[in-house]
Amino acid sequence: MERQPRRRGRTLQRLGAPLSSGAGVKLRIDGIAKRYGPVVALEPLSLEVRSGELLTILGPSGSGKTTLLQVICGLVEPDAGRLFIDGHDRTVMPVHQREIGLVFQNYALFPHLTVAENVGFPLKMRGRPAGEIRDRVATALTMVQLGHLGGRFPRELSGGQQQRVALARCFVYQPAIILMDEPLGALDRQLREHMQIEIKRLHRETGATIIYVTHDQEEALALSDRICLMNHARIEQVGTPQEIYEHPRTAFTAGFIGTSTLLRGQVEGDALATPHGRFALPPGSTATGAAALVIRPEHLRLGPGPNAIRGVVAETVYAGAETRLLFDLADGTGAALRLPTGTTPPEIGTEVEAHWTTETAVLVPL
Amino acid sequence: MDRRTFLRAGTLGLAAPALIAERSQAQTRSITVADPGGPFGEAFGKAFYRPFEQATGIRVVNVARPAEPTAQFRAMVETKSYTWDCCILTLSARDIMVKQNLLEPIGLKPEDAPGMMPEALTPFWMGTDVYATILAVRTDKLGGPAPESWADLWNVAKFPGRRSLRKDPIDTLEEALLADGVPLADLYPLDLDRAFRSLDKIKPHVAAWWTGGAQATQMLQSGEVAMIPTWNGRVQPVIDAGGPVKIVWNQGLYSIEGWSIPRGSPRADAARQFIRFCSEPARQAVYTEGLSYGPTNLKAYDTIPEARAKLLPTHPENLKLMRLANEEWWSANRAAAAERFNAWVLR
Amino acid sequence: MTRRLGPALYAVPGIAFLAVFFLYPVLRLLALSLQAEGTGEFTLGHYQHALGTEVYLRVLGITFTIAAETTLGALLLGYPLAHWLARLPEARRGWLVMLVMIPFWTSYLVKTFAWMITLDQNGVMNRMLLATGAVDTPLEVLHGRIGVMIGMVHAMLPLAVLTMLPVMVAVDRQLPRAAGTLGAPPGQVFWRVQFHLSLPGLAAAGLLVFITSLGFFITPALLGGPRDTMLAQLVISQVQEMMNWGLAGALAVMMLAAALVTCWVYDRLFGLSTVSGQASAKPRRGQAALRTAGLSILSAVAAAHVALGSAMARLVGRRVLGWLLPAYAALVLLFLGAPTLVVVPMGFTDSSFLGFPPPGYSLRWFEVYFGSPLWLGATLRSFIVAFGTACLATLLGGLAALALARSQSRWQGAIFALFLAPMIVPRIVVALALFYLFAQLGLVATEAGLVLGHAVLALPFTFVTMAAVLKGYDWRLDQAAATLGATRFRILTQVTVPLLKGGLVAAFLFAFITSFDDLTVALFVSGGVTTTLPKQMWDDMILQLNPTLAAVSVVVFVLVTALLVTAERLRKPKG
Repeated sequence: MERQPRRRGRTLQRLGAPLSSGAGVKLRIDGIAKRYGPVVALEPLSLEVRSGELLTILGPSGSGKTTLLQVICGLVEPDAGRLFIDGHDRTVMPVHQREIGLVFQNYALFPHLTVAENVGFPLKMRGRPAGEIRDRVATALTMVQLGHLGGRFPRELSGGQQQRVALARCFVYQPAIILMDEPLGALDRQLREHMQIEIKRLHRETGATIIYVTHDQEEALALSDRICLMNHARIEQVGTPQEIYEHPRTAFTAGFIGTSTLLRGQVEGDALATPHGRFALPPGSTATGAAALVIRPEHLRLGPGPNAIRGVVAETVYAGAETRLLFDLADGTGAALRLPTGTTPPEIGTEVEAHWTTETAVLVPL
Repeated sequence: MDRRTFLRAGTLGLAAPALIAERSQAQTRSITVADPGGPFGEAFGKAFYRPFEQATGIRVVNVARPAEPTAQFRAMVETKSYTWDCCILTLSARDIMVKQNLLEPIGLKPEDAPGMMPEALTPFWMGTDVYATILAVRTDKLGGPAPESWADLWNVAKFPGRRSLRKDPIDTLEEALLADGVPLADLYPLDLDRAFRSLDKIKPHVAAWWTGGAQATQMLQSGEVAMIPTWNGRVQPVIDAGGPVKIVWNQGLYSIEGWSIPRGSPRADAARQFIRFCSEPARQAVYTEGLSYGPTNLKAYDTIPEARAKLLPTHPENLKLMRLANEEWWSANRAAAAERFNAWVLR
Repeated sequence: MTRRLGPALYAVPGIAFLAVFFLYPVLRLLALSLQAEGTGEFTLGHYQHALGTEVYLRVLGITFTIAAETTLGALLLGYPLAHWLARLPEARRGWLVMLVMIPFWTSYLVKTFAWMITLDQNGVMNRMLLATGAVDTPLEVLHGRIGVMIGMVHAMLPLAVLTMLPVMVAVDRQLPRAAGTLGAPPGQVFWRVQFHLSLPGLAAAGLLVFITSLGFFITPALLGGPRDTMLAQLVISQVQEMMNWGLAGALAVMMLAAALVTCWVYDRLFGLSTVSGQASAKPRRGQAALRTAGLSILSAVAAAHVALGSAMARLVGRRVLGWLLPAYAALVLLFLGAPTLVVVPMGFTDSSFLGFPPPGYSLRWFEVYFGSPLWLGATLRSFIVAFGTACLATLLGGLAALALARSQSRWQGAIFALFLAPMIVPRIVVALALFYLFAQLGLVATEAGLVLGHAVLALPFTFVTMAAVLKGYDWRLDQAAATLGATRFRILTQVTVPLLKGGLVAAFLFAFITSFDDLTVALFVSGGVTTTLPKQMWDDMILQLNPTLAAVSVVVFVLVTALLVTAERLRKPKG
């Protein structure tokens, strides 16, 4: 079911020696692993983050993404592996020297300091002169559109405003890498979408390297240059949103990103034998043995065809631009398809048939 | 290595030499004496400390000591850190410390202090004042006649009223025996079985058991109890303030407290000089103005006004009614008697 | 390796301090209980004597009974008060907590005498009862267990309330409402939700009060009857009067062992760390059974409460019922303030004795106080020593609590026990042990010696207070500061400490009071030369109770109230 991380087993670089591979690599994680007693928080894993990219670490709760983030910023010491920033080994460097910015899920604003003092904090820690701190704080607050609230205390601000202060506090000292730990998790949907645009703008304007942790796949798709999908303390797949969405390499990826129909079976020659019938494999499929066909709802159409499945309508969901039709196959497997606007959905409980074209499906190993 | 050598080794290793030098330099200039505190400090100051300073130029710093400073004494001697050069000790504390070899000879012979009570002078200690355990009575809280003896205190039918006893075997056992008819002269050795039998009789009628002198004074002053055995010095302030209180000297037990020097004190010579100074009758007479304790040098009565003299335990009229509490018996039997008394009082 | 130890290192100064100024001297002294007097040979004789003599075991039993009764009394009076306080708005609670602390500011000697004056045959209470015709003959309250209970519960109430309060405040206010919406009547809500969730606080208060009560001796001696002898009295008597330190050591060890057994049982049942208000992390042996039993008791109590409550509501109406808790709390506060209310007028008496009400009024005792360099010097010294003690103990205790909160060491239990230990060992033992040590270090009769000695006594309180406060601390703020470039030191000074100001002030006050009210260590360590206020009071009452004591109490009360008001202002975070 699981691909071994590609870089596993590669020869480790000597301590502190600059990394030769790719000038564009900002952060390189090599074989990092972490256990808490009997609980494995991170299997040995490796990852590269390019300079100036916004990489999302996506995964369900408990998949290890927060641990990975904490290892990167130095709040948690890994049991094994190395961590390079700009080609320098930073595995054991203390947190406060790493020049990594972290935006916390609960914002972690200092309640005893004003907004301006909060934003000025990292500059003060770096011993910048007062005048410079004032100017840079003002610039940063203006950047997040809070220029007029510098004298307030965090608790006097709304959730969205607090989050912007947290962003300003991070961007103000231009850290080499900015880590964001589900920063928008506490906001309502509208505010969240607004802040996503804000973060994209800040990313574009500052050119910062951002690692963004979230469990929200829509947010990941909307924000990221690349997504690193995690599950069970391992990296499941790394790729652009499009790659991840259209070419999931595992059943987990397929299931986690978007709603898909998953048909499980055995590869027999050029077809997949399933309880629902034998279906042709999409071109380029390499999996053998137990595997599943992943069909995105937009690729499934009502009506008979060469690759068709039958089921009973369980639910119809009206979503404005489209209507989603959920139906159950004979063995209980759930399937989903999109009806174009204007189509009258079939009644719940009626039997439907749906088909897809062979090329639109993806075969993943089980 | 036993404890003492262990402690001493520690001392030598740890004490800063500069500190020792500083302390020994100070020895000619001042001594620190520990008295019972409160009004003692004031009265002794007038009688002993200030005049001694004028006479010798040695400053006397007085501090208050706890009632039984045995632990402090032992610690001082064992660690050789002398915070006091001279301290007022009761007979019981003196005997314990003589036994443990914690005292320095005071070097005063009877012929050096004419008029001194013979029991007030030993090689390691010189008594300065006499206090008595007497029966104090609140005259306004009695319906009828006032008690005149310990037997009267035990007689609840004839002398109704709330009574308090001391929660301590010392004095209380003697009172019990005297109440039971043992003559004052034949008190010691104490017959413990008889004493506790006697105590059994009074126990149900004891309204309160006191543990500290201030508590006894408070109970007498507020009228909480009508009859209470306590020390005469605690009663006199109540009488002086106009309290309706009478002291029964009959069958009283007196005791003496006085100066001792911790063994090895670097300022022992000055302390000896000071103690000799305190033996003078004229000096002792002065403190009786503020304290109702009896001078140990009976010549002091030559200069004490008669009105005051009658209130003091060593006034001949009072002294003849009382006897000295036998410290020898107590130091031999105190631990056992205390355990038995504590067990008895809990029953 | 050092990085991993990181936060645990904060405990090192406190552990080192206790090792030098507590463990080493106390163990050395207790070792005397294994040596024969004079020869120094090893012997079990003192223990054989202590265990073989009926009186010591009986007194140990009495000591435990009195401590247990005091604990029960303090919890019964303190819990409703704390419950009421916890639900008040924060600002009002702050001021009322100050009222709870008032008894702290009157020396326990003066407090005890105030109770004697209030409760005796001719005291205020009996005169009022007789005047109103409530009784025909004066009530015998003093000289018995009731008197002991009044004095000791009064002394322990502030500790109980202040320990329970943070846990109760931390209970989510939504939960009782949630329980209400789920159909639970108020009685059920209280017992099954609020009471159940406040249990760690209740248990912690119980343990602290119990252990502190074990060491009492003056209050039972003055307010109690013939049977109210506590072990500390016998230890002191063996040390001072009999000079039998071996037996004293054996008795102290007995008491220590008994206290440790209590702690062990407590640890088994609740986990020692709950003393600081932490929920016990790991399930403990026997806990499941205890939990089941406890829950069934709770549900029975809750059912009874609901039945009684509705009956009462029918009888007197809901409005009256609603006033029950505030009225109870007000009565408890009155009880707490009673001795102070008696002492203050007595300071202005024109008589030479303490009595209430005073026969006439004058300022003569204030003149005595302000005219005496001895009293003024003692007051100043007490404040300086208490201030030094509070700084030192808060620093050491706070750092140790920080270490415990931030590390998952398996030594946690041991560290906890070590920091609580100075509370368990009888003070006279600590005082005597320190005298030996200080004599060797040249610290006898110095202010520094007093500060060090008092810090040993105060450490358990600062440690527990800080541990409780740290429990509610958001450690992500520290992490945030670290990622923003703050070193460990700057995190501490710029983030952690400012945010923990409230707890620090509370710990500081606890330590301050401990030092300010200590007599035992002062008696030994001061050597009589450096007189502190309690010692000066003690010296002054050798012959008689002097109204100067009351006048001094009034002065201290005014000074400390000013201090507390300032502290309360400071405690409130700005903005």
